[in-house]
Amino acid sequence: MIIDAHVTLASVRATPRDFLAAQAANVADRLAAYGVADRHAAVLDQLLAGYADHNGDRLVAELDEAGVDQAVLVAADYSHASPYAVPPEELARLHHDVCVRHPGRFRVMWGVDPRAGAAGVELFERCVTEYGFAGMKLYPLTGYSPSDRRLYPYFEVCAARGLPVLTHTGPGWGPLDFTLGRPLLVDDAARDFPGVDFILGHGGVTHVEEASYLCAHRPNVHLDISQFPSMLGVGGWVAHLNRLFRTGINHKILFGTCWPSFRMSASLATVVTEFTHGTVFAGVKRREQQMIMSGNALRLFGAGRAVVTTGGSDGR
Amino acid sequence: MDVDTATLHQELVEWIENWNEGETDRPVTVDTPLLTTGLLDSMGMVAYLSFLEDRSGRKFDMMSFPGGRSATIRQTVEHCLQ
Repeated sequence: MIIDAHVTLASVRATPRDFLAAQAANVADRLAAYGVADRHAAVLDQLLAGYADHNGDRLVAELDEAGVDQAVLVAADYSHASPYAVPPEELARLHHDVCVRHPGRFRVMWGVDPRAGAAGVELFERCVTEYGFAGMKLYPLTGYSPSDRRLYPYFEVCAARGLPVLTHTGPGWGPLDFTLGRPLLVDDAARDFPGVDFILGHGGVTHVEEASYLCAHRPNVHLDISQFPSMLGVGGWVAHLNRLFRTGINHKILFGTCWPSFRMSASLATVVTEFTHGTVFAGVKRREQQMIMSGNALRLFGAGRAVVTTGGSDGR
Repeated sequence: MDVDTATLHQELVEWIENWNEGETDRPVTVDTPLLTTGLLDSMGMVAYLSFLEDRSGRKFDMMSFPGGRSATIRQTVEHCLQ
């Protein structure tokens, strides 16, 4: 069984247009350095064309082709960071509709922001009870620490309901504050809520040493390897991940891709094949491979829980 | 814009060769996979598709392109012109 613990909906309703424009500017800047000038508009057009999968049909087709059985759909709250972000209630409905359209396929990590106040906590609880969302997503680069005390009411909900927290680490969308992407920023929250499982999104790809020692020494801290195809590193991502998988923390590592963020350069099936038939697991015990590919995710999300079907806690 | 496919193929072969500045021994044909062979990386593919759009006068629809990592010049041209 394969569970991709980190995918997103490629829709401008989930990712604000100005974030994509910043990404296009970064690409255009690099192209210009190679003599291909004035490409910002063209690159942005290409990006926007890829962010039109509002109902998740293409995402599901790609998961099918790659042999991915289930996926964790990550819905970040950008409403305090972008004028183009849709309101949280609309974002929640969008992701719920995707789950209803593709029953049995997704768990949703719901994005919250500490600046939302009591209304944010209320919406989070409603997303869990009415929509069956499976956990909480933090995107600190929008302007807060993952240990911000205003998040503690949310963590209390997670502790009471046994829900994990996925927090972004490393760089992110261009307009945001990368200094808030350090894994260590989660340490206060992880210590104060030992009953809540925290997942360092992209922790196996950026700030790897810091993320790894947190995983090694904090029982409730984990990491995912999403975004690995675009990692910076001599020798490429296969060699990098193989080293990571031999550092003794495989009980803390979740397979994830951040698909479709690198759709321009690879198919999901191609990268998944490296895990099923390639060399990325060379020297790694079969039992630990299974833990990474699905076992750890099932443990964190509750082995007895099914993925969202029609919504509502009774349906899980 | 009328597009002569053979001419476009040749222009794209030359574009790939120029992009690599003679630093690859791999012969480039219209059926050579562009990404898996290392002729292009993701950034090179963006530049390549931009050039294809300019020369063909058509938009390249990434959403419906099935080629993935084994994409070739022939596949990208067919997809762009369909």
